[in-house]
Amino acid sequence: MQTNSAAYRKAPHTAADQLTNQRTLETIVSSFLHYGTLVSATLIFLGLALAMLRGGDTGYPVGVYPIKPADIWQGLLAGHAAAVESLGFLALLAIPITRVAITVWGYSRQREYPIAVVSFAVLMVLLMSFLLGVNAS
Amino acid sequence: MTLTATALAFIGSILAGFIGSLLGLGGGIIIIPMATLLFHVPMHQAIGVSIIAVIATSSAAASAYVKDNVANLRVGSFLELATTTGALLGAVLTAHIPSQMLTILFSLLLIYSAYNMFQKRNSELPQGVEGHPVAAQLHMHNTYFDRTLGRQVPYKVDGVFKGFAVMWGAGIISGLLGIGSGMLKVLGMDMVMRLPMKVSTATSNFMIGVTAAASAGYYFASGLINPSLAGPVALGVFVGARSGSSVMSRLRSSTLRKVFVPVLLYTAVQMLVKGVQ
Repeated sequence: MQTNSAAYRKAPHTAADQLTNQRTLETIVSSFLHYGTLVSATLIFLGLALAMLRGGDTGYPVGVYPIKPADIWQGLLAGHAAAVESLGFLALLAIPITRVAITVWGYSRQREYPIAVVSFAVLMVLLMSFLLGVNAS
Repeated sequence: MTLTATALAFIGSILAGFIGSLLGLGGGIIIIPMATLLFHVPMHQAIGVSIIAVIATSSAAASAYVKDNVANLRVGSFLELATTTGALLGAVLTAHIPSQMLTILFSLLLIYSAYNMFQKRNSELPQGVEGHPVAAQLHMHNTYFDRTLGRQVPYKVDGVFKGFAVMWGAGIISGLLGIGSGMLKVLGMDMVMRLPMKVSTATSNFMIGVTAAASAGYYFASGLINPSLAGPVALGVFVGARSGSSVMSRLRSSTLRKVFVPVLLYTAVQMLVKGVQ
């Protein structure tokens, strides 16, 4: 019976087994989003609070803040408030992209290949637009 | 920014995050006017801040909605392909399409949708949905627990390809105008794919972060994300979206619709004024 994979795929899923099937991936996605927002919010808050405690000194001239990962890293080493905040924004931007990567992995593991392929295509579009955007800037 | 301005941005963003998480919107309709009118930030930077707000709303709200199984993961993943490619196309087309006319068309579409939504204002759950064969193949049909009804609600997904087309259009419009993608996503899932209202708004919340991420790289690398404003906005939105997502599960779908109608009209007027100017 288990060799007949086509028949297996066409077998109707009852609500119950579909739910147990989905539960794991949903728990993973949900916890990832939870901790992702927590990390990003903490960094942004720390950056803002540091600048405020230092009387508005972000470590950079007014209107200037680090954008490139290398500059952010340098700023972090120097303890600049704006670098901590920028890291928080980077973490925030990484959340949706990583989340799509997690669903690609999850659907593949559950052998739901059509939706895994769709999700993979989304990941590629995101990466492409990210690269296009960064280059265009 | 002064301490007062920071506090003001924080409080305004709590409201944006709250409404956004409730209705599946990014809160751009609140953030963009707040940034331009209150903080006198140029439009491009306002959109940059709004993108941060959308991702923050989406991440914080979807965490709760995915856990409760109200957001439909598979519907979201499927439609994301349409919204991201549409958004990319929209961003490319910006230079070639008169945005003024598009803004007016968009506002008319919203008025029409508000009328439709008003007609359906008392409908709690969609009735007699047959379900699309492709939706069954992709395991989209699902069940969620409705707290206000106190029971499991099984539902089917209809109009898969029509929904995909609507999402593509929603993506293009959001790429062109930098606003309104969440609203069109909810309308598409509600009217074309005939999902329960709560599933539509929750799934929209799940998707909008990904649509926004498609243009976030450009805005961040161009330095259009002004951290002194984006910081308090992100924090406020996190707080608002957290509370909004816990309130949403306690509301009836018909209540959500009644909140949605004035928000649609408000946005329509906002866009109309912008388009006529």
